[in-house]
Amino acid sequence: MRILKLVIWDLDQTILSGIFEEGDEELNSAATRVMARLQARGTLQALATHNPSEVVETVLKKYGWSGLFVQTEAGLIPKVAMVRRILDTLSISPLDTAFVDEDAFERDSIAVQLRGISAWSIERLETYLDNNKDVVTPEGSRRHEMYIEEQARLRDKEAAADYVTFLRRCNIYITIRPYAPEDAGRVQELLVRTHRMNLGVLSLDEMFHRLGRAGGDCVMIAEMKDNYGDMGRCGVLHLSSRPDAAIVEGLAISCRTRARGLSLSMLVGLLRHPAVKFQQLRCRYISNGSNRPLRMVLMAAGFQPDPGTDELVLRTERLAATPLPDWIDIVYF
Amino acid sequence: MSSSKSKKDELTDQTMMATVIDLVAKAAGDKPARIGPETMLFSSLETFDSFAMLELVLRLESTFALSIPDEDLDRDIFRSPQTIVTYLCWRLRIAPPEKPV
Repeated sequence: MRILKLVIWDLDQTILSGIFEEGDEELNSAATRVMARLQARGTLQALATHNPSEVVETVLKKYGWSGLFVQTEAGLIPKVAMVRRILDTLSISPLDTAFVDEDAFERDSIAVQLRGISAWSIERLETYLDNNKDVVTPEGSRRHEMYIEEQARLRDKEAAADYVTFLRRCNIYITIRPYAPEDAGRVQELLVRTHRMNLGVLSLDEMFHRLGRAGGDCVMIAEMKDNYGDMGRCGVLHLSSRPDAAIVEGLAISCRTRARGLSLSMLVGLLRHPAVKFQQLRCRYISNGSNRPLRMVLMAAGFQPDPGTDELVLRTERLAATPLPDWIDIVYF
Repeated sequence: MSSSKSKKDELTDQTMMATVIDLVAKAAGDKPARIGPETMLFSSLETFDSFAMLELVLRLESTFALSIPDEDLDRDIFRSPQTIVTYLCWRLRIAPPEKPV
């Protein structure tokens, strides 16, 4: 487990202590206690059950859970196929997911078929939560709503006759401002959660340490919102300066900004803030197998490899020449 | 490109260009007919963003059975279908040996 982003629940004999269709069901108090804790932390929850979908609808209505699960999969298909579908739809790695089932056979079966997933009992999940008391940021506690908003975006995109016209109607705003002490929790969260959009250079501890002693360094925050909702703080950039160049000490951009030109606009916006000054910017990037998306964003922003080193270099004139999509407004504070 | 190219080489270039344009169109979710050899990917194609770029690189790697190293990920190499074809010719050793750009 890298970080718990999603919990996929079984229904009968896990959330319920009996079998719903046989009428002997009762809520499992341990499960409901853990579900409430996950909701408060902003951890996404989904349901995968062999019950027919009409039965699942009845259960959700009966217990007032209609808005609780970000996705439900029901029917007589193999459980592993349901879990895969949920992970694909939500674009979440098995490494960040727990599958919870009180049946040890089901747990083992999922663990063998989906490498990296944590297949746990309720008790094991509760122990994990006890030992990993995350700071809950406003963005973290809205994660469930943000996925619902994202689904609405995708629905409207599919329905739109022209994608670019749709994007221009979204009223996407990116706000760039200097870091403030109250951003610390969210910045930590961004650095921990962004596997595909970080530089792969420093350990998390080292990044936190450097941020803590940032002193005269330049640290900028990017926030994003559109007609569908407020995605909050999605990007952080930490620059220090050397006599010959500015150095990117840390950079993390939320994977929520994928597509629509958002990541590039966010990075370029961070770099074009009037407080960010450099003639030449140097940035170490080490491929870790999953962070190639960020390498693409760096390339699109105009960073070039410095032969013989693991550094990338950006010059102001290349940054100035970077074209950005016209459907995103960038506002500087 | 050399002016002493054979018909076969020109055909190879044309086939490669058509393939690259097709891959760019797929990555950008656009129509191949809207894309030409000199189309500037990042400035002329509205839906070509960094994630389309990642998809394009993966498609190029798979189609041409090569691995594009990080040090070749440069905006100038991926500026247009023409610059991509030049790069591919260099990588596939069907062009002069010096690295383009």
